[in-house]
Amino acid sequence: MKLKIMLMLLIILGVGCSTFKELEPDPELSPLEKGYVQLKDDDENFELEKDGKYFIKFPKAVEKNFYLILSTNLKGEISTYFTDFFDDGKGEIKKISDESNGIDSLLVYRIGQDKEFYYWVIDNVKKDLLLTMNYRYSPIWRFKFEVKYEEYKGILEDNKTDKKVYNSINENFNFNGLNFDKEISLLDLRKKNIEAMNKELADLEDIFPNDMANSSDAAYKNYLELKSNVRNELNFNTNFRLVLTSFRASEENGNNMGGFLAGVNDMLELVSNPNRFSQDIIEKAKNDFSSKLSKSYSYFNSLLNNKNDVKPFELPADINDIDKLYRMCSKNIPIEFSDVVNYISKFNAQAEKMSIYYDKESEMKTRFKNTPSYPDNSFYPNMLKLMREMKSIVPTDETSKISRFANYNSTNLMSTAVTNAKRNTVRLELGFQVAELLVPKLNNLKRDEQYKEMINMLNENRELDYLLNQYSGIDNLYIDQQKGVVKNNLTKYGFGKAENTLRQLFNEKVFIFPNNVERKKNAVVEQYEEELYDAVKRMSKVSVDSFVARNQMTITNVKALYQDSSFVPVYQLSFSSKGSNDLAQKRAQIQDYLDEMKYHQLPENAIKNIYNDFVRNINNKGVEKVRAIVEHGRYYKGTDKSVKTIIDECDVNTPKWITKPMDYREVYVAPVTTSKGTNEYMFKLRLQIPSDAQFPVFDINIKLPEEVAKNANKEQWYEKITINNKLIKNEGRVKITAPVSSNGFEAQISPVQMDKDGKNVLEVRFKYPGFKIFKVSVMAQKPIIKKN
Amino acid sequence: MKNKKALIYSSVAVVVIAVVLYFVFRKNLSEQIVIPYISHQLPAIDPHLPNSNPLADKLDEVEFDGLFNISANASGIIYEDGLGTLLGIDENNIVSIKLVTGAKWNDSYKVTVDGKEVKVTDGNVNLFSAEDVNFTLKRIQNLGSLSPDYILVSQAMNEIGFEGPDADNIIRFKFKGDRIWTEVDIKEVLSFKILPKNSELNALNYAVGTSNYMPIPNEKGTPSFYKTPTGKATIPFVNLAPFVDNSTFTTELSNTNINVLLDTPFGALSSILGDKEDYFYKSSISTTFFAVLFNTQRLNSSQRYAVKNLINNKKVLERFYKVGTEQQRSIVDYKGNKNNYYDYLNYSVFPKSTYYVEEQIVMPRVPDYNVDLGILPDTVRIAACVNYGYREEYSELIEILNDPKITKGKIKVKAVQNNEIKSGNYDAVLVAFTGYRSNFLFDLYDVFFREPNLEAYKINLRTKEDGAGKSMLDYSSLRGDNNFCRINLNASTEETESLKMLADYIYGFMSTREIGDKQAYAERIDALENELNLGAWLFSVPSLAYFSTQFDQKSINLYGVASQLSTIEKWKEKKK
Repeated sequence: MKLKIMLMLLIILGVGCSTFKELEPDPELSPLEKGYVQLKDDDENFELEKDGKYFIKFPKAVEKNFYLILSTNLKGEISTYFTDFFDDGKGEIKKISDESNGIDSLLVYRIGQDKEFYYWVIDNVKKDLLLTMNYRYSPIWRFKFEVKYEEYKGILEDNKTDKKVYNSINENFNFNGLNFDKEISLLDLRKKNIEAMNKELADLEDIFPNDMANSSDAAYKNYLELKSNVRNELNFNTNFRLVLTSFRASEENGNNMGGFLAGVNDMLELVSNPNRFSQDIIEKAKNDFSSKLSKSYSYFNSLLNNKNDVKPFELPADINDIDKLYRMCSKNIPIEFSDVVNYISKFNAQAEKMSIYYDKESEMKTRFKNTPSYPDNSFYPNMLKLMREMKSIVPTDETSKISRFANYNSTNLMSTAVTNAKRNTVRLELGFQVAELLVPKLNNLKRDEQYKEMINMLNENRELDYLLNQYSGIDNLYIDQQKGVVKNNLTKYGFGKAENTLRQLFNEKVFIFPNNVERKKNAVVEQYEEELYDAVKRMSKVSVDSFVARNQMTITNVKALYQDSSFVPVYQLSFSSKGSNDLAQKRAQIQDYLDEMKYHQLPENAIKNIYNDFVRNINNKGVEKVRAIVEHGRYYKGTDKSVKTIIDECDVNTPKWITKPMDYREVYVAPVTTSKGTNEYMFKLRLQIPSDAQFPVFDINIKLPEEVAKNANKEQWYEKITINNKLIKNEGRVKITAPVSSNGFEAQISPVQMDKDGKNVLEVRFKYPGFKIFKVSVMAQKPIIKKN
Repeated sequence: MKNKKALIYSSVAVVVIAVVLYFVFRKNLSEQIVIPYISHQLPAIDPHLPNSNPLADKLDEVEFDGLFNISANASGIIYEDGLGTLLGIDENNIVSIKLVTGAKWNDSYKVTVDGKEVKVTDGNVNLFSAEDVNFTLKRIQNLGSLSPDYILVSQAMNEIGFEGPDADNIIRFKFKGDRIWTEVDIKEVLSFKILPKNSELNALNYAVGTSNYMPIPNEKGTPSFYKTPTGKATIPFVNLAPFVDNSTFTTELSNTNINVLLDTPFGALSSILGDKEDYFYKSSISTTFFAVLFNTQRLNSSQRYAVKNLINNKKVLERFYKVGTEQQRSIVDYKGNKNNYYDYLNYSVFPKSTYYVEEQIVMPRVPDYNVDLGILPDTVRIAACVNYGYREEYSELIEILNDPKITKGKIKVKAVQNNEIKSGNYDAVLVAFTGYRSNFLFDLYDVFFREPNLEAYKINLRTKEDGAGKSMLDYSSLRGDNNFCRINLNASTEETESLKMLADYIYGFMSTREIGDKQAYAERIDALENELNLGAWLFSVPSLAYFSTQFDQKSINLYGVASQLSTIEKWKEKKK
């Protein structure tokens, strides 16, 4: 029992925790349309406590487009909203708007059929009160129509137009005193007001129930009646306005034919719908309008005379409508009017076509403009299609056949335009047909970067100027390509190909637009010509510098050094865009450097280095070193006296100068043969000793190395001694003293005659079983007279 | 049959006997050097003066020593210590020589000869000393330009002489400071041969020396030399073999009567000495030339010019050597050139082989052989004496010059006795000048100042001092009868002044020790002689020596002609 009591308490407490209290009317709420029903709680009103929160569940509507209408005078005391979902005020609440439109006693909510219940929620009560309220389920149209029915009737009444003027119009009616603009403005204002109302009425039709047409509903009948009245008033408004605008054009423009013609469309509508208007009005209109049109020729003629283009005549109305109006208003049409209508009509027709033509031409130009270069393969097929459209649109020139206006400027302009268009289309069609075929080939060639072939192909079709323009960049591409070839070859040291490419480019005269690229072509040639020159010069320099640096101590195969390719340019330039003098100058500049290295740097450095090494120890490959020095010396063209002195000192074939008497000087003696056994050695002395004597003579004293002279007592130490190639022998008048240990191995040749002004070369040859360098010391001086 | 066999056996026996006799009695010249000479031209040895007999000059080297001796080895001239040892030369050019101590003059020995046995024993010892050097230098100074040694020494010293000897027997010479005196030069200067201090100043023959050989008595009376006890000679005897003339010299060599022939007839190669197994030869520069010297008292200058140009020496030379004939005499020079006859043609008193022509100090002019011969006498008489050497060459030349094809019948050459020449009985005289030096010391005295006496060699040079004390030529040197050209500088002819000038030039040439002066004088002499036309300078003959292969060829080093016997002590016989 206790347990049951506790459970009840919990339930009570749980209920007691809800924020909003549901008000459950009794009798239950009914969604049927049956007018306002009181909301009661067992015949009593619900009591609402101050700050209490309540809600009432309303069942869904039985049909679409229904309102739940709550009628109460408590709107100021309570705060409410209507929603299709409610959970004690939790969660997101979508409030359905109140469409009461300011009616203080009503709360009007759309209620649908999507949910079973819709909730009217009282979320605030300002004071304790009793809820006095009626509710009603009503179709929306009815509620709205019922609410504004009286208002609608008032609007219609207020905007009705007086038909007195309208009805008084006849052939003799005079519009003087009628303010057309004011009347038309009023008509427009009324029409506006009625149409606004009419629109609301029309909107209600959209929410009529499906079976409404057969309904006997009173509100619906009122609706139909009101609607009919509105329609009639609007028709009148429209017709009257057309009458007013038509006659206003006729009445108010006087000689202003343009102004008159501007109303042709209204006039034509007027005279074309006699059923809408009275016969009087129609007759007056025809009379007035034909009268005016009979004076229109001069107007048109003036237009024609002033026409200086082939655009359509811009008339206030269509010429055919004008013509039609005139014919509807009169049966007596002047021929000149017919001619001018015919002319303008045809001109305009042609002009329209020409306009289309020009539009397409513009499109064509736009396409060209949008595809300034390298069209894809579809470009010319499309262009050809466009061109054929243009061709098809080009009109036949009919205006020139109208004799009255055959010599008019407009006629000539049109004829010229048509002729040009025809000619142009033919030309372009043919060209585009060719281009259609060429472009794929060109594009393939371009893909393959065969620019020269493209240029040739385009040059064969020079008449296709538009195509040439589109491919004008090929010239640059070709030049850039050749530049690339040159550049690439320069990078890979392919100087020959680079130069040939430059030469070909320089001599190339065939371009799409030669004049446009001549400057660039020459600039490229000039630039890369210089780069080629710089590269050849640089590489030649690098090559020779490296070679020279590597061989500054080379003593073997020296001759081959100077035959090395390092001393010729890495490439022999054979082209200059500036001519043979420039070419020669460049070649010379490169060769000059190489020659400088060949004939100055290498021999000079090698000679000095090898010589320094040689003198440190003449027995360490001494022969090889002096021979290398001499061989290097053969190529030396410098002026360094020290170098020349070294060469001379090392060259056994160069006589060593004896220029001062009584002064020993050392002379290197080298073998002139190359044998592992005995070698022949030689040294030469050139005697050039200043002397006052007419026939100077000298003794030559030669201190020999002991190893050369030590066996002189057993066998002759020398092979041959000559003076100026004349053999000197002891058996002759010259005495050759043998070198022996007692005289310090000093040999003497005496006397040696000097040719005072000539060369005096003493040559000594001897043999030695070895391959080395000797030093001998030589001294010359005035001889003594010897007995034997 | 028996007779036939007997004949064969007899023949074989004769051959065998002949062979045996050959080996038993064949001539044996081993251990001796045998050199021929003209029997009536006994060489008179004076180590300081040139001699007309070349052999005389060569024997200087056999008998005498200098302080240093010129010698030779395989490489050329060397100087060996003789009576001195070079200690050095200081910065003041003082040359110090240490004299040999104990060197004996060869008269210190007693020599007895018994056949081939020579016995040498000590006699009165006569040692070499500095006084001998001093004596020798004074003699040389006295001889002046007559002696090449004077030129040699005087160019090194301002005052010929020395200081010393000191206690170490060192003498010191003051050399001039105008050059670097190399050892070679010092030894050359001091290579004059030294005579003992007790020698006569002007002897005809000097026999006492200190060298490797000394003269020994000979039963035949011919010159003979034997190695001295202290000498270095390897071959003990040097004998001179007398012959009437040089025509048989080659035969004598082939007959083993001699084993050294220092000059062949014509200087030509000998066909009979062509076997290299038996002989070898050494060629040297020419030392003999033939010339026709004109008698200035018989032929005027124009005539001399005509005769000079009449004698075409080229044609003479071609005939002399029979060029282009089967009998052509072949020659070879020391450079190995063969049959280069025309290299021996002379056109100046300075032969072509001399320094002066070879170095073009003198530029001889080739005569114009197309001259007017009308100014000549019918016959130009040329004398030639064949008795004092070169008989073969003289005989050949006489025949050639007498050939009208050569001299157009204008010349008559006659072989005459020496007296004819001495008396000057000739329009011109054909003379062989021997032993001339091709170096600076070419001897012009020999040509122009020699007594015209082929039997004796005398240079008629007189000098005097000028006011400044300087030596100059005394024109009395050439009197008209004391020279081949019969020049009389005391006569008054239109040529006299030119001749005096020539004589002065010759003296200047011979006396100067300056090479430049010699060159200048040589030019002047050649030019002036060309104007005076004193001789027709025909040609030189080659110098060719033959040796028997008895000698080791390698041991004989000959350089120059005058020194042919300089190394004689080193000659060796070939080992058998």
